[in-house]
Amino acid sequence: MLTASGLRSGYGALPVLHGVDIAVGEGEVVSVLGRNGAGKTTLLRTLSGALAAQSGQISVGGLDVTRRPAFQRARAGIAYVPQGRGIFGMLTVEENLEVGTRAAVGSDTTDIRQRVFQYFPILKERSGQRAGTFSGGQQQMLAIARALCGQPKILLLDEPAEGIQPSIVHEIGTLVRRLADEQGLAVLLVEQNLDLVMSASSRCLVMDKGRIVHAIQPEDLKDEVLLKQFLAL
Amino acid sequence: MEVAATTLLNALTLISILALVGLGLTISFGLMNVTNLAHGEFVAIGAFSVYYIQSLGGSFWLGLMVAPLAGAAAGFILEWLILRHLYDRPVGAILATWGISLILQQSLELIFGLGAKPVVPPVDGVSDLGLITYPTYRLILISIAATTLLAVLLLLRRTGFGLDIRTVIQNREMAEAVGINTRRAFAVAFAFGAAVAGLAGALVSPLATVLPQMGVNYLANSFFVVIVGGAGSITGLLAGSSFVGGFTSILNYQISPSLAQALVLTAAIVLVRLRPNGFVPVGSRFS
Repeated sequence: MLTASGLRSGYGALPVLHGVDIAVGEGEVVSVLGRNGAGKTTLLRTLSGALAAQSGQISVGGLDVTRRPAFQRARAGIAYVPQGRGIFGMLTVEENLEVGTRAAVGSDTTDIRQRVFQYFPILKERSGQRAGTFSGGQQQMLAIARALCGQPKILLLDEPAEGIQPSIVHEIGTLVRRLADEQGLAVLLVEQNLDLVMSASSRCLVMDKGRIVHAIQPEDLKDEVLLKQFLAL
Repeated sequence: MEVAATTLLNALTLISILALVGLGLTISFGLMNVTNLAHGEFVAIGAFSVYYIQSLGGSFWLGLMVAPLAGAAAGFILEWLILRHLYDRPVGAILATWGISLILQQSLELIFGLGAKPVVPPVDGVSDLGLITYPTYRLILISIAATTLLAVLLLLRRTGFGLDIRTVIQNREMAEAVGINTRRAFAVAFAFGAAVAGLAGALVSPLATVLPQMGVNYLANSFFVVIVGGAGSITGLLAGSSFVGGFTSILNYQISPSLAQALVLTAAIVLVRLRPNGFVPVGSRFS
């Protein structure tokens, strides 16, 4: 569904990604692990279009989007939930979800929102509330719900567990797995929380210094010797 | 009592104009982080539109309809030719728009010649309001301005385009990530602000001296409106224009206009020192 090959990008004269190859299939949850500064967030930003690729190729279901601006990639099916969630705090829950449907061009947006509410009953109850008043966990749920409103094929999640209480982290893990299984969503998950990675992932990639250096199975994360070797944790 | 009523209506006239001119500035400031020094020229273009239509034999009302279109066209071209290349360079945008401002002033002078242009008001005379009489045209001006601002408020709060704009103001990168074409939103919003400034120019044209340089005054005052009120919010815009417009009108009654202007600007500076983000800070933008 999502493929990137030879992807290079960075900030100004500072290169961060040195040729990343990655492929995420339909219904697959791929986690990216790695130390701070390995380039995980930069990878997601480059895929979403927030940061331009310097070279390489990104395609969504066969469509080359490398040179497209971020809003067109969103409409092509890439949904991005950044670190810190990127909620529009001054808008209501309902308004956040409505702007989320901007990527679903030509679809019935009311219908989409009703379907998304099935996964997030709490958001329906609080649809008139300002998103900025939500707790971190609720904001994370809203961010994922907003991403789904764009009817994406691919979901890019950057550290959804950051600063969130364990019970909600577990809920997010279950939800991500369900979305992949039931909707065939391709998910690329950047996460430090190993419980979440293990509960949600189909497979894991390890990044270091702007490259993918290992491919491992989620079960391998239980093996501390392997963990030390791959992540130097 | 009569003095108070007249001052109030004078203040409302000034507040209306400042709010209309300030709208475009608060959009470019709050939305795009662009300091547009050519904004005053949209006011001049609006005023010259009315003059030109009248010189061709058209009515004031036709001019009033053409003015915002002329403003929008000028705004659209300026955004497309210059500004969109400078969104990442705020200082470059200041210099570029200053240059554009001079070019537009000189162009108006080249096209229409030197000297003030006459604009005939659509209605003469005064209206009896019971307590006082007040020029009818000024009452019309206040109503049109109030209607326009109300329409803008509804546009921002109730329409999909308004929601897009409020979204882009809060977080441009995220707005783009949810599928909003932020470049197009900028272009439309900028042209819209220019259109409203053109309308303001048309509305003041029977009262003001219509000159190519007339925009400069409105620009300066409107900047104070936006800074005092807080950029990027309609509530802030109304608060700022009420402060600058109200204060100026009250002082104009007591002392010479120049001294009044100086006092108002001094008060504005003190206010900005105390409330650096204006009456309505960034957090509550367009809400």
